[in-house]
Amino acid sequence: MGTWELIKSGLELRPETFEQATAPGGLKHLALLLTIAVISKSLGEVGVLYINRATRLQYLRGVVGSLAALIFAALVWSGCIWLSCRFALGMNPDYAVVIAIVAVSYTPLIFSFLDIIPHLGLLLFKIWSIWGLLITVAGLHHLYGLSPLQGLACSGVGWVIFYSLNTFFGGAAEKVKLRLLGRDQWVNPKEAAVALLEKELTR
Amino acid sequence: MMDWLLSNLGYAFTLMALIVAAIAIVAPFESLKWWSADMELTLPDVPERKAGEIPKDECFVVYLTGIGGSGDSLARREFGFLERLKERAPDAVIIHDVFPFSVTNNPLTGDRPLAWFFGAMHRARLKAKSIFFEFWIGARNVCQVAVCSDPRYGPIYNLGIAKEVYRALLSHGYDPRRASPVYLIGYSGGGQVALGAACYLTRLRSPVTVITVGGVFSSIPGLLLADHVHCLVGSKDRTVKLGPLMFPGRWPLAPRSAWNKARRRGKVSIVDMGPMIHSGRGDYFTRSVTLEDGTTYADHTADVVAGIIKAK
Repeated sequence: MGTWELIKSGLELRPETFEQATAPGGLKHLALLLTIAVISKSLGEVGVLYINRATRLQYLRGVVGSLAALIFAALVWSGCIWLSCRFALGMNPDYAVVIAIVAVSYTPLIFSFLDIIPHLGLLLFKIWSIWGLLITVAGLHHLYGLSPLQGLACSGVGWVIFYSLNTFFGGAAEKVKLRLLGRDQWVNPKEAAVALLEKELTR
Repeated sequence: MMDWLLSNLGYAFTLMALIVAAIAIVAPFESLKWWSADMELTLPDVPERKAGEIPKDECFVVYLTGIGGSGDSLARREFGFLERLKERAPDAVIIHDVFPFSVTNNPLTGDRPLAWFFGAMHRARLKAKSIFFEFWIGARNVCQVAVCSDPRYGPIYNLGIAKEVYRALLSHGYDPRRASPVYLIGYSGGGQVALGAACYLTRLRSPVTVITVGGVFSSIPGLLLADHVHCLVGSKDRTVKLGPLMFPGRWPLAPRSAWNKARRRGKVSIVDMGPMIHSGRGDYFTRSVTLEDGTTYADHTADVVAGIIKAK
């Protein structure tokens, strides 16, 4: 099974996906999958970079930053799931396997270049997130026999911990991303537009 | 032949869906490119007019067409409506040269890579009244309405349109030092663009009123910023119902949305236009269909809009 088959079966939530992802050599496919997901995600976010008037070099640095952020987020989120499985359900899952499940859950992000579509893109972003969550639940079910409700609870608790951590440390991550882009802060198009217009009207 | 057509129908629809997806993906780039280039917002100065030159009830009416517009010219029925409006409100300066689906007021047949395609579609739809030719222009413009309503791109798009409306106002004699009322009339998707432009135009000294004719629009801050918003809605207009359906901000579940706040503050009036449809025979600009009292639909729409203008 190659990367393409892994992606296809991952999107369909099939059990063999998780077996392949955790088998020897699965890491190579997961790395390729994450790279495709990051490239797609950066294409979906190209509008934000236009708004911030980023150069090509800044854009490429942004892509590298996104890849790093995605890997970091996968590690943290899988850690949260591992902790909730261990303490809430009394299980002892292999952390590397949980990481593989979470990595597979990023498969729907290969479509995130579609996030650029006006209006619909905002909905699509939520669909990819829910789809990813379902893949995680399916992975926990197939590899550890967790019921969908238990899987959802573990992923959900992991999700809550992850977002709590993101609230505390998200600012620092944003600063790193902005530094990579060579900016002090994101451009708020509305504020910038109003400032320009007011300058013109009071001329 | 028929069998061949039917067996390939699936492929044809898939191809069309892919093309529409491509149009949607590239939709924000016109405004983004305008924004990311060295954007020039400087507008021309206007000479101050003498008091005697200005009619007592002067106001400015900017008409923004619907998603069927190509930016070259309005449809005859729209011209007919604007003529009727001028008869009823002679002091109103009527402006219709702003294409609401381009931040640089560039018509579909203007200086753009696909001008040849849209030009061909526009000419073909004038000759053959086929929905196929209408579809491509409509799809492109619907995507621009989506850009206008998207919180990521909307502020930029709306600034571009507001700039073009302001430029058109100045070239038609608008003096920013006077507070002559400004009316933005948006038909169909033009209603969304009118509300988007109102977000910035309300910074003028003039009161800005938005009138949507069969308007399909989101919950946008322009609803709160405009002096008042009048929504003209035909009882048989099904397209207008897409707005409350597609945009969560217009659902009653979102009490803090601009739409629901504007409704609570009495800033929005819904005007029942009778059994009018959205587009085609029996729409807001039709001259061949009458209401029970014998008034044509076009006359009734002009009466209602003129009534709003005169009430100020």
